Amino acid sequence: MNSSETPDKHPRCGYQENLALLRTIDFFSVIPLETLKVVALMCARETYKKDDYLFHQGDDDGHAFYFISGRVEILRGTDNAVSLRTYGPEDFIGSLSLLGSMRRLFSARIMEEATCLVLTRDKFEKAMEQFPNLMPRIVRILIQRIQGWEERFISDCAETCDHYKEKVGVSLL
Amino acid sequence: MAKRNVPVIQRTLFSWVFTPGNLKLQILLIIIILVAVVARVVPLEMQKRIVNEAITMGQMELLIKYCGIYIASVILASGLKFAINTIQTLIGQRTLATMRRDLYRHILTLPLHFFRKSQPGMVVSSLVTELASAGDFVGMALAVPAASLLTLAAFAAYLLWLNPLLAAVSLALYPMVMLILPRLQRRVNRANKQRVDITRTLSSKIGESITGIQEIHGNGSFAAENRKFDGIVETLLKTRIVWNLYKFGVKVTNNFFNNLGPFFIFLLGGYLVIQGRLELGALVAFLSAQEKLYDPWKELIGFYQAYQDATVSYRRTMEYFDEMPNHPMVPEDRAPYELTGEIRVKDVTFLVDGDIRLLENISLNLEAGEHMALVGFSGSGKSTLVHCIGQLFDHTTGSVEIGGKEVSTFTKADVARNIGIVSQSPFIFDGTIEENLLYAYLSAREGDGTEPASLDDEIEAIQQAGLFVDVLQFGLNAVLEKEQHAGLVEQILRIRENFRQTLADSLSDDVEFFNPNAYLQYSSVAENITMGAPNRDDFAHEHLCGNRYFRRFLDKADLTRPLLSLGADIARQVVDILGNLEPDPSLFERSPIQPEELPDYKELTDRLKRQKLHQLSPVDQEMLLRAALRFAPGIHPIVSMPPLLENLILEGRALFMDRITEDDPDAVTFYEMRHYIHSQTLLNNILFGKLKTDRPQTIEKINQAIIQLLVEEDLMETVVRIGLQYQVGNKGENLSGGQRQKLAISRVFLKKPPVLLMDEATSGLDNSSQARIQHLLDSRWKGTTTLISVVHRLDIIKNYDKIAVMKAGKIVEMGAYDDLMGRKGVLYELVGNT
Repeated sequence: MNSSETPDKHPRCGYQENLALLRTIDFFSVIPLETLKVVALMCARETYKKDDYLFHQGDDDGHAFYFISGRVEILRGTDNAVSLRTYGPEDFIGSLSLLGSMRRLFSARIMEEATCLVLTRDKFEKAMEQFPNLMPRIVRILIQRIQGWEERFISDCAETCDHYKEKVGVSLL
Repeated sequence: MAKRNVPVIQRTLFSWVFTPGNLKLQILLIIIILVAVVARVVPLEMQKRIVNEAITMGQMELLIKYCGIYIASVILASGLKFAINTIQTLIGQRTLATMRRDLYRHILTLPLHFFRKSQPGMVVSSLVTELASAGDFVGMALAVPAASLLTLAAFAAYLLWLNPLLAAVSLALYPMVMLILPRLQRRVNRANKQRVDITRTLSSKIGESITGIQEIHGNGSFAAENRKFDGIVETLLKTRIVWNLYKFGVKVTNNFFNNLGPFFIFLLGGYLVIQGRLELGALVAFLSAQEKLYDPWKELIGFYQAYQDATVSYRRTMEYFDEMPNHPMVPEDRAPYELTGEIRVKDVTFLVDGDIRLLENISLNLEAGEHMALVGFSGSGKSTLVHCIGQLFDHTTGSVEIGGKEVSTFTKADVARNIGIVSQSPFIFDGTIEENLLYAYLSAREGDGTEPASLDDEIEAIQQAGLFVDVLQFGLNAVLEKEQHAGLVEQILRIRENFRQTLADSLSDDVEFFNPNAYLQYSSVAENITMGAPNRDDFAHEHLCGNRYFRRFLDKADLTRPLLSLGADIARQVVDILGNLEPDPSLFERSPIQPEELPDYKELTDRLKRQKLHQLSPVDQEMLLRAALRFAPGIHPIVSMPPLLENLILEGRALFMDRITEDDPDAVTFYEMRHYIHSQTLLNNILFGKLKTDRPQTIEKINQAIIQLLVEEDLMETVVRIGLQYQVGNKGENLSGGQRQKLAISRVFLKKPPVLLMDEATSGLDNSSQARIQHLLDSRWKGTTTLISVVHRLDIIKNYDKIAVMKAGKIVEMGAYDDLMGRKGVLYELVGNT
């Protein structure tokens, strides 16, 4: 993956590396290569220092992040934020906010210096406008993801804990 | 005058022929035509006299005289023909322009529901193409029939005068043609209609096959698809043959009858000449005149067809827009209202097609300056209510009063003067930030001669909406005209110095400083070589690839070949990634090749498949160099910069510096701390370098630092003024969603209407901007402006005077926040749920 592994006279350019990374992301698996090339060109590679915020709860920042390295902490609450979970290398967060306006339910604060591929809604929409027949495919993969999430939720929590039984139904939306 | 008040959509096509603007021209046209007809007949008479009097009698003098008259009238006729065409064009084009203007004005005033059911494309084609044939027709409506009929009549009269019998025989042919031709034409039309239908079927069949090509290949169903296609092609073949045969039939018939004329004239006329009852000259004149009958006849038939086309497209266009605005534009007998802001809504119901009640018996009262939040589930009618109060929708029953006057009786000028509305996704028009900022302000004061908004007012408005920093940033990102802002240079250089001393270190991760000893990843190859700003056009970075001196330098520095190779890589890569896309500039931000250049580079990459670099033409080589010289690895990640080339360029930089200092020292000013760089933005000049990222957090950090320095030099206002001239692009595409929304909010803030309607106006903003605007509304606008705000987020509604909770088109709860929460009703539930 790393550019230092290809010791030829032409090191891989940012675009090629981005493309190789995007192809490993589930969310983009339905997107044909010709579109993914455009998306790869639109991606920016950013480095974040410890304690940088990727976004704040309530923002509609419209960014999605793929973690090449580093770790981020997901926080809920504004004044006394509670840490809920973390994401790290090879995680892709924020794909929903690429598809439409959405306020963040969480804040994301960097725990370890991180390098991310960053994609913005504006850019993603521009790329999608060029390939109008892609939307149905993306909707399909979203449905799969929501269903997968609920299946995990049921088997992990809802079947064993009464409190969560009332909370099932995201796939019935 | 009364005629002018007929709405454009109700005007007949012929009413345009004699509009006051056209009338004088039309009269002039008729006079010219009359003279022209005489000028056309004179040569016939001359022909007769030349044969009969000059030639037969052997009179040289007469021959010259008649030939002189002949040529004079031919010249006159040609000149007049040109004059006729000129006037005809003038009338046609002026009418077309007026039609367009009037129809556009009419369309803009149509009620909003009209636009929901009509396609923008239809409106565009109506205004752009459909009306063109109508305009052309109006141009010829008088000229062509008048000229043709008069010419026909004049020739016919002349023929009758020459020989009534002969004339009667040859003219008798025309009624026969008129009997046969229309019948044939009808068949042509029928066949043509069939042809259009079948062609459509064929197109959709092709479309289907292409879309389903995977299925065809998968099933191997080639034969079946071919059979379907063949069937359609066969039908089309037959129809096209029939259509063409009828078309030729029309032509042949027309020609046949026209050629029949001379036959009768020779037969009968020859007999008469032999009998001595007709002069030879008269026969010659007769033949000429008969032949000339064909032209006006053809023009008449062409006119008939144009008339058919024009009426159809004109009528269709006008019928499409046959609707009237619901409200007059300006009051006729008074000045626009200047209202106080109290709002009384009583029993308002709003029905849409199919009697669906979007609003039902809504009543609410707001005193001037009171603020009300509208909350509720989506689809509960909040936006609809706001639209009804703002007269964008017309409520079906009940009353909406602002300042004691019924809103449905307002003219659009009253609305503009008294109501400000910000929608959820506001529209921004192409132009500068300032033009958009003044958009509502100027429309509200259209024609009343009040003072234009001052810069202070504008700055206050953008500050209130939180757009100030954005505008400042646009200003910082502007490249200043050398002459225009000469005074700024000294101050900017001082700021640069301060920045370098105080902040540069802490920002070194985010800024790439100009450095004569390092390769700059965020600067172009051209900048990396010259390390300087051009003082002359031929050294502008864009023109270097065509600059002979520079090309010779590249050769000497051994840079030409590696740069050509880099250019070829760039071209191939860009064509591969973006080659098949719409030329949208935002997709090309990371490409050194611009969208409009793409077709040329596409062809070039095709040639690159067959030719080696050295075989390319000089033009192709220049194109490759252009792409390479623009390339900046940090901005254009599409290819990588070979390290070897980086070193070559660094060596080249030193060589270039030596050479140009010796050969042409005024051509370039090198990047040095003491020089202002005119080819760079204000920001880059302050940084003396370039930003490495467009990350919002970084930009904010830099902005904070620079604002401080700008304040010290008292330059804020100047930079904001420059930023206000930023071009927002088509539909505001150069702005982010949040910036568009803030701009829309600033434009109503600048207008300061007594009634402000906001429909989730801050939904696209981040928390802090939203909170700031809310705070401002609470502190500055309460008591002066009546506000109704549709609010999605319930944590910002506490300070509103009243809250109305809507559900299914009704207000289910209304009152102060604390009262409603105390009542533990719907609002309490809604707040609890979020």
